[in-house]
Amino acid sequence: MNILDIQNLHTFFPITGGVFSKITGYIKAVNDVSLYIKKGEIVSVVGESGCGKSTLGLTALGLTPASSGTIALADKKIDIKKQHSWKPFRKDYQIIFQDPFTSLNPRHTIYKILSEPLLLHKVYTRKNVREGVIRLMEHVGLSTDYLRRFPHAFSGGQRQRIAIARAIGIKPKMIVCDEVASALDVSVQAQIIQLLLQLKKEMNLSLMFISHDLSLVKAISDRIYVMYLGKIVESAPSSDLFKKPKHPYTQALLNSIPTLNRNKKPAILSGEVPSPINLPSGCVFKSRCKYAKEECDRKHPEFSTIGDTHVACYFPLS
Amino acid sequence: MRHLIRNRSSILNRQPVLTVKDLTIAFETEEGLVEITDKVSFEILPGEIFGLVGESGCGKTITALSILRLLPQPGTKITSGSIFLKDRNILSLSYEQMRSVRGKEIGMIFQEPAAALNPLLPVKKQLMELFDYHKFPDDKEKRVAELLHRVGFPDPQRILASYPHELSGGMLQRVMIAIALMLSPSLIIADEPTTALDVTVQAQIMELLIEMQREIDTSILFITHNLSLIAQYANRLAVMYAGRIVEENDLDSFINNPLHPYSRGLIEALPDLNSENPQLKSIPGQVPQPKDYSFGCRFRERCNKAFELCTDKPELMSTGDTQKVACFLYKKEL
Repeated sequence: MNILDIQNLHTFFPITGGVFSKITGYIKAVNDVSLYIKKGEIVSVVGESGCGKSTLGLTALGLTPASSGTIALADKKIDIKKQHSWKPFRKDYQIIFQDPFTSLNPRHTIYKILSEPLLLHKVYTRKNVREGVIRLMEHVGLSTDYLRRFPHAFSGGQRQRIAIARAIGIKPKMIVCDEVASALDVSVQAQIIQLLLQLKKEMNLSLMFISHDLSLVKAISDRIYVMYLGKIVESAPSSDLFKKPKHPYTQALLNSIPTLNRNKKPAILSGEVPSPINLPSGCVFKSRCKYAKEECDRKHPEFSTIGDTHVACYFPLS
Repeated sequence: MRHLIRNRSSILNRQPVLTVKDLTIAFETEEGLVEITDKVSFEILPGEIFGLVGESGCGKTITALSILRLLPQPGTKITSGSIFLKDRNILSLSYEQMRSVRGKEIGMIFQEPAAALNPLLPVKKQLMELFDYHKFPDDKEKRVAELLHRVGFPDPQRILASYPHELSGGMLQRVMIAIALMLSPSLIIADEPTTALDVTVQAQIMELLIEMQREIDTSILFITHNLSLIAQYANRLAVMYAGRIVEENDLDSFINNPLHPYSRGLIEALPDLNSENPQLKSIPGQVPQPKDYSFGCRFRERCNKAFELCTDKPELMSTGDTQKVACFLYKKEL
């Protein structure tokens, strides 16, 4: 069973201009994306900033309206034009945001932050919710002495634990983790990821992991989607993607990451990501691709399948 | 090989560009002075890229700001120590003298290029400002255009006429590098120069920075939390934890054999892209806040090798030609 199944999803943001706010163009944040996540799987979406990965995560949960396409949650199709069609699924699909300094209400105590979803979804009643909050805090490794404190009293890592506790309290089936570790220090980063993995195992969660950090993603994912300029350019099981990337962009991304190995210098991918408003014709990556040929100007390539890898490239690497 | 050795010794014999000695900086709070750095000492040699690595809040940025005398005022105070630029004591310079040091002798590249540039002025004005202040002679315009061309803009005139918001993060950082290099300073402080950028752009910017560093033969104080970047680009590094330098080492020996338990933890916490089955290891506990700094070794609560001696304060001591470490594990061996 697919816990999440997205077909041909588009999320366009209109750009308005002039006195009458006429729509002059669209930012094509998510442009024809198909993706699925099976039950119990950890799937990562990676890409550079502005490639649409966060928008994809938000659109999948109905937090940003989709322009077109189909979304099915647990095999049930959602009417993407109607906000309320997501409502029955809110309990099962949760999200943890990147910045724990802005995702927690500074005027609410930890008790309030954690008890709210529990009461809203009737997991606990007013009488016994305290017990539920305490159990949650212990579960994510926070001292229960902190119950009456406000978010400002916590460090980044602790705040992210609170955000995780809030998400898992109502026993969801899937969590979208949007850059959960990137605001944290390296020594704490691994703690948070390990906590998520442990919870995933205990609760049989599915995780959609949105990140720009390929080396982090490698350690945890079952499958990885690589996004560039609103499009998925490659999807593959984690081991295949790192061993033999098929898309030139994936290869460039992998080679540009600095490692501790001083004999292997990061390779340079020239140029910068083009604007998502005026997409280049043909393959979206061609302006930076060192293998680009005439064919690449025609239209954006369809996916081809090589083993378990799907790649959108006319000349996949071998 | 012999060539390398000769090079090394010639570096060792030269006078340091920058000498920071026993630098202690404190915040003035309602509860009195809270020390953020505790007797930080290091030297940067000519032509060297010196990495300063540590997690957020460890005092690395505040150390950099103190070298330029840009500490937030009022509220911060240098309570002890000295900073020498070649043989001039920076801390005793007057305000005007200090202004002539900034940009001319020490260049600075900040973390957020979008925040470091004035949003209301075109790029050209911001570049020319430096030339004007330091009374640079003629053909300024030509020089500025050349410089922008050098940092990778094929069309400098268009960039000069643009405002910062019209340029991308990578382009802005190129402009920042151009500003830092304009007057060929003998030291460049680069504080997290690529943290706000994407990995593919990060590699471009680092490569450019290193290339320019070689071209004008300057030294770089390279501050970052990213150990892999330091490993790729620096010659020597110092690791900071909770306001103290806990290890100083040259890069090759650091990566193969880190001395301080914290350094080892940092290296192990990096997910390894090359290993078949990467494991994530973490350091237990949290980075302490300056007001909670405890007595003795500040890493001891998170250290798996802590023993009874660690309640004393470890001093930075030499364990080899270029290695220094502040840890009692090495005292035992000596």
